[in-house]
Amino acid sequence: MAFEIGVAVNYRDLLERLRTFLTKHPALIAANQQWTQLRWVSDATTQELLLRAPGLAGADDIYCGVRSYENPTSGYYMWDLNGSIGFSSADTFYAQPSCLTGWLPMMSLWNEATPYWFVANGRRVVVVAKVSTLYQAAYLGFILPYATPGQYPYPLLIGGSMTGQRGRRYSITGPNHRHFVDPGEDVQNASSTATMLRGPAGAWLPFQNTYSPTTESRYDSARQVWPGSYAYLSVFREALDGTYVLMPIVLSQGNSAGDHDLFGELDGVYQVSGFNNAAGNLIQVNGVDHLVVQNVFRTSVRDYWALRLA
Amino acid sequence: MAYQTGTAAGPTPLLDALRLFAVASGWQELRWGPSGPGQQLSLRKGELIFHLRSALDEALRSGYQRVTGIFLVGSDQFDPAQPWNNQPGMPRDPSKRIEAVGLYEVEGPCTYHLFSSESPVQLTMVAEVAPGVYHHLAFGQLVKYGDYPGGAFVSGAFGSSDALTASASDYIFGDTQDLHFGLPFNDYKYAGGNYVRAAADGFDGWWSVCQASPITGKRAISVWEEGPRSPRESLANYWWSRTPNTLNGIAPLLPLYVYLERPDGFFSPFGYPAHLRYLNITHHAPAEVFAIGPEQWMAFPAHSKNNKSGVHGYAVRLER
Repeated sequence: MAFEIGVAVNYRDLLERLRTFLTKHPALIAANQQWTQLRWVSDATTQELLLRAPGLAGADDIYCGVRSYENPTSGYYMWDLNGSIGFSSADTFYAQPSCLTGWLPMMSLWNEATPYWFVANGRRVVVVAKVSTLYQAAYLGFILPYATPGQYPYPLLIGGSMTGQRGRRYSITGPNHRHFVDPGEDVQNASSTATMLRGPAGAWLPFQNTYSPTTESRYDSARQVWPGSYAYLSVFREALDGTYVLMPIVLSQGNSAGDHDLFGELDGVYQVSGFNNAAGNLIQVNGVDHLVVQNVFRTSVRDYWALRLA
Repeated sequence: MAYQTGTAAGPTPLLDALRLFAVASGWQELRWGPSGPGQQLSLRKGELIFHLRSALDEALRSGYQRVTGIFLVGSDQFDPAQPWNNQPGMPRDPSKRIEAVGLYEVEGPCTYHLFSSESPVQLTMVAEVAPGVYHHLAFGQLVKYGDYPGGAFVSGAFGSSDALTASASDYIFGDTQDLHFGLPFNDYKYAGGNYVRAAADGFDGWWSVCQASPITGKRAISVWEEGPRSPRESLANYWWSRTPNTLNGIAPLLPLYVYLERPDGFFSPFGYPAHLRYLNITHHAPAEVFAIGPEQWMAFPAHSKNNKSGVHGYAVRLER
C-alpha cells in the first residue's frame, strides 16, 4: 500500500495531488495497483475526477469519483464524492452508471493551505484533510466484506464527512457533519448520509448512528456503523501499559424487513479511544504507524479513529 | 491432542477425562487425588496454574447452593500441603473467602468435548449435561493488550453457585428466550462466572467479569455490558441482532473483548480469549463443526438452542 503526507495549497490543489497520488505513486505502480484516470476536467471553478481502481490483483474494476466546486461568496469549497459500477464518457459526474444520486457524501474544505494524508491500495483510498482545526475525511472503494466475491462482488463504500444539501461550510456543526466512521444526519431514517454502501443487491444503503441537529442523539437505526453506535464507547481508554487498542469498524444492518447483516469492515480504518489522545498523534500498532483522527470538530473520548499509514 | 470427545458417567469421570486430556496435551498434573466425596485436580502449564474439583451435591462454601459438577479456580502457585481450594493467589471475595466458576447440573452420563490450544494456552471443556443442554469450562491465557502482569482467565457456565433463576435479571437482554448467563464472558449478570487475573491500580488478583457488584471487589466487563438506552445496547447486542447475515447465512464471530475498570471509572482494554468467540447459532446445530478459511470451529449454545438461550452461542477453535 501507499501513503503520502503533505500540505496542499488549497482544496483544488488537494484534488490534483490525490489524482497524481492514485495514478502515479511508485508503491502503487510497483504493486500494479495504480488507479486509472477516466476523466479529468479542470475549469475555473470546478474539477472533475473519475477513476477506476484495479483491486489488489488487477481483477476488479472499482469506479469512484470526486468533483470539486466552490462558492466564495457563501464561503464553501466542496468535494462531492461518488461511486458507480462503470464509466460512461457521455454522462456527467452525477449520472454515471448506478451512481449515487441526491445528497452525496462530501468533504467541506477551504481555499487555504491544507495538511493532508492519503492512503491507498488497489481497492480503496482514504483521505484525511485538516481544515483550520477541523478534520475532513473520505473513503472511496471497497470494504473488506464478510462474504465471498461470489456472494458480494462489489462492496463499494462512498464515505465522507458531510452530507445534506450541497454547499455547506466546513464550520457547520451538527449530525450531518460527521465522518463515515460514525455518521449521522439531521433527521432519523435519512436516505443519504456520509456513509453510503452499495449493498449485495445493488442498492445504495445509507448508514446512520446519530440524529437531531441539537443533541446528536444515538438511536437504533436500520443501518449503523459498529462500534460507533455503542454509547458506552465514551468510557473506554487506553490499555494498562498506555498503548492504544484498535477495534474494527463494521457496517451493520438490522431492519424491520428482516434483513440482518454484518456487511464487512473498513480497510485500514479503526476505532480508537480518545482518552489522553489527540488528532494528529501517531500510534504504533504491530510496528505500523496509525494516524489518530478526530470526527470533524468533536474531541470527546468516543470521537476518534485511526488510519493505518501503510 | 487438541480435541477429544467421549462420554462420562458423572462429575468425577468427567474431571478424569479432562485430566487425561490435559496431560496428553502437555499440561503437568500437579495433583490428582480424593477430596471429600469428589476428586481434586491441579494442573500447570508454564506460569499458569489451575485447580478443579468434582462436586457431588456440595456447596463451594457456606451460603452457596449445593451443586453437582466441577469447580474451577486459578492460582499463582501450587502448595501441595494445601487443598485445591486454599492455594496462593486464588479468586477470593473481600472477606478472603474462595470464589470459583463451575460446570454444574451433571446429574448423569453426559457427552463431553475437550479442546486444547496453544499461543496462547487454553483448555476448554463443553459437556452436554442433558439432551440439548450444554455447559462449559475454559481456562488459560488471554491474548493481552499491551504488556502488564496477568492475563490468565477462568470461565464457567456458572459462578460459585447454581444461580440460574427465572428472574428478569438473568436475561441477557431482558428477553425470556435469553435466560441463561452461561455464555463465556457474559458480564450481564451482577456476578458472572468469569474471572481474569491482573495486577493493576494497586490490586493484584482476580477481577470479576460482571455488570455490577464484583465479587472480588474489582470489576471487568466484556462485550455484553449494557449501555444507557433501551433496548439493552451492548457491543454484542448490535452484533447478535444483525447476524446471521441474510446475504449468505453466515454469522461472523465476535471476539470476547474484556475491559478492566480503572479508578477513574474508565475501562482499559485488557485482552480476549483467542480460541473462543461469540456466535449466533441460528444456522448451527450444537457441536456442529464449521470452517472459516483454514480454521475449524465448533458451535455450541449458551445453554439450549431455541430454549433458554435462544440462538446465543459460542464457538471453540477446533484443532485435530
